This record gives sequence, structure tokens and C-alpha cells, in this order.
Amino acid sequence: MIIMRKIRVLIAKPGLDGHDRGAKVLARSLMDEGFEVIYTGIHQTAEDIVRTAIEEDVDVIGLSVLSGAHMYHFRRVLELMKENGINDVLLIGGGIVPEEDKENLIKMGVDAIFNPGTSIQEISDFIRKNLRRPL
Amino acid sequence: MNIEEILLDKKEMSKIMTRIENGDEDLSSEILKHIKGARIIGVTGVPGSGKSTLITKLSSRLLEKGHRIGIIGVDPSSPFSGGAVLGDRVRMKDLNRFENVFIRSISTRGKIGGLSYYTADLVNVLDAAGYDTIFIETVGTGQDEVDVFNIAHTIIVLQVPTLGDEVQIIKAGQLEIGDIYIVNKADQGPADEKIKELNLILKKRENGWQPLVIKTVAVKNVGIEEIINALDEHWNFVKETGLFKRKINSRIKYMLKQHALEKLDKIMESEVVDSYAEQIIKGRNMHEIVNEIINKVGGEYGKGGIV
Repeated sequence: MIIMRKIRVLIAKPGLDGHDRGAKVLARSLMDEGFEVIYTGIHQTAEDIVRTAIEEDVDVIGLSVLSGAHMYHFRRVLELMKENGINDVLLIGGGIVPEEDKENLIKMGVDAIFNPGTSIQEISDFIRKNLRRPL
Repeated sequence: MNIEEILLDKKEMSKIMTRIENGDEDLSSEILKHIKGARIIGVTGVPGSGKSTLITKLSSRLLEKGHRIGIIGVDPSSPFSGGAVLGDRVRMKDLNRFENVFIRSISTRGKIGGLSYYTADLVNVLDAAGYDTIFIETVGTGQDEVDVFNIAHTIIVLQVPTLGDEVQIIKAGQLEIGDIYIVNKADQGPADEKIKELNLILKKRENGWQPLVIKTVAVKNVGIEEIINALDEHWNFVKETGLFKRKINSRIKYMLKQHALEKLDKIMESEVVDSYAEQIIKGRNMHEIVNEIINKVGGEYGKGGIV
């Protein structure tokens, strides 16, 4: 029996940042790439995000942060992922993240940060190539 | 470890759901042995009629009463890419802080009828895990998506005041399956007229239930208590009239049909169809081809073939 698996991606906006156009465009574009995208909307806490990731059994968590609070949000989500024993899920992000912060986030354990101007192809290729679970 | 223990862990349960959604039939059968008889409520209606909001409001109320709530939210898949945007959780944010809630978003994965092929199987997982009240939110529906009727004990059909004239009300489909009709967004149009039309057409069902019509503004919590009461009334009806037992039967029959259809669907979406199409163009008999395909389902297409 061939089991066809869909790659599931969570797109969430943590914190008080209400600018969600980019997140919605990405959700829609990843759909066009064949992914199942769970979109949570704005004002999510890290707890909301990790809980959703568990209930939806996603392969990827994608955070969109334009508020400047990216260091805090990613750290908190990583902490909760660790607490919940989630080690087979990619954590990626996008938004307005300065280069030096980007490096620190990657060191912290974030898998990739995609800044404005990134093509959808680049993001979907990254996801497909770096999945931590067998397809 | 037995399956009921595994289901106590949300993460493990979630992974079980993934396997089932991807067609693990052995696991589906195993889960079915552990269902406890949860109340299953189907919520259907046009896109944007307020299904997710209504489910959130009802769930909040039912949680106060001590229930454990499971929710399956279905959204459409793209006919082109096969992907989907699953957005039912946007309106369900308030439920995230409750431990006794489990929400799962799924796509139809190309199936028509308002649900995915394995929705019933996923409901079984929630049931086996001890969620005593399970909501199925169908895709935003039009007229004909009545699959949820096979699974749910109670069907809530959402309507909004502004759409359609009275001829819409007398048509087949969704207006035949509801137990409770909600005219939501009642502050945004001629709701009373809609209610009058619905009451005129909604006669007693064959099983003896008189469908109820309730006016709501779900976002403002108007009418929620009336729905809770209507749900209780219908649940009593379900248990007293033997409908509960009949529904288990129809759920299993429905599951079986979906499992079989899914396989057939997979075959018909595969490249073998091209050669059959070619043969039809060359004049081969359609009836003969269909029989050949059906015979091959258990043969070369099955057992490690296409399905």
C-alpha cells in the first residue's frame, strides 16, 4: 500500500503584531505548492502555537514576526517545543529580522529565517529538503 | 501499551490521526473497537455563515458543563495543487486555553460531499480518546453536501438572512438533513422572514423529530443558550428512539463505503486512466472497462499496486 502523505505546515503570528498580509500570502502560496497549511491568525501565544502544532501534527512551524519581538517569540516557542518533546518539526520564520539576529536565531535552533523578497519556491524547496520526518 | 493509554497523550493521539488520515486501515479498525459512544454534532452551512464561531461558543458553554470537546474542522483542498489552507482555528482561538478540547483541521483531499474520506475514522479516534462531544465542521457547503448526516447524531444547519428567495427553501439536500436550523447573523438582514419560511417547510421528519429553528447572533452570544437546550432535547430524542444505535450502524457503513471509494478514486486519478480513455476513444465498450477496473481493485491494483 502506497501511503500518500501531505506535508502539513503551521503558519502563525505570535504576539501583538497584527500585520498578517505576508502570512496570508504565504499560506495561500504554500497551498499552491501542495502543502496543507494550518493558518491560526494573529495574536497567538507561544503556548497556542505549540499546542496547535501538536494537535495538527505538523511537519513545520512557521512564524511571521514584524513587531521586532522575534528573539523573544522564537526562544519561547523553542523552549516549549523542547518541553513537549517535539524534535521532528522544522521551525522557520519570516518578517523583519536583522541579519545579526538571524544568525543568533539559527544558533538558538531555528531552522531558517526568510526575509522579505524570498521566493515561495525557495521556502517550499527548503521545507521539502529539510523535513525531519519520512515522507 | 494498549491503545486507550496511548490516546491519553495528545501528541501520540495526533500522530495516530495522521496515520489514519493517510490510509492506515489496520489502525482504523483497531480504533473502532474502542469507541465509547460520544455525541456527534455536525455543523454545516455556506462559507462564512458562522460555523466556526458557533462551534466555539457552544464548546465554551459545554466545557463549563464538564464536557470534553473534540472538533474536526474540514476545509476544501485545491483541485490543482492538492494543497489547502485550513483556517477554522482562527475563530476557535478562545478554546486553546482549555485542556479538555482537541481541535484537528483537515482538508477534503479532493473528496466531494463536505467531508474527507477518513473524517469518520478521525471522529472515532476522538471518541475512543474519551471526548464525549464531537463537533464536525463541514466545508462551507452549498446545497448538496450531506455526508455528515451519516456520522452525526445531530445536524445543525446554518443559514444567513440575506441569501435566496423562498424557492431556495423548498429544494432538496441540506434542507432535508437538519435537526436544528440556525438563522445566524440575524442582525444583518431579514431574519424573521427566513425563520417564517423555514418553519413553513420544515415538517416532522420520518423519525418523528420536528426540526427546530433558532435565531442567533453567534459572535454576540445571542441565541447560544437556546441551541444548547435544543441540543439536549435532540440528544434525549436520539437516545430514547433508538436512533443512537442506528447511527453507529450508518457510521460504519459510511466508513466502509468511503474506504472503498478512496481506493477507487486513487485508481481513477492514476495514470492507468489514460490508457482506458485511449481504449474508449478506439471504441472499446465502457461497461467492459468499468468491470475490468472493479475486478482489478482486489487484484493487481491492490496488494501493493496503486492502492
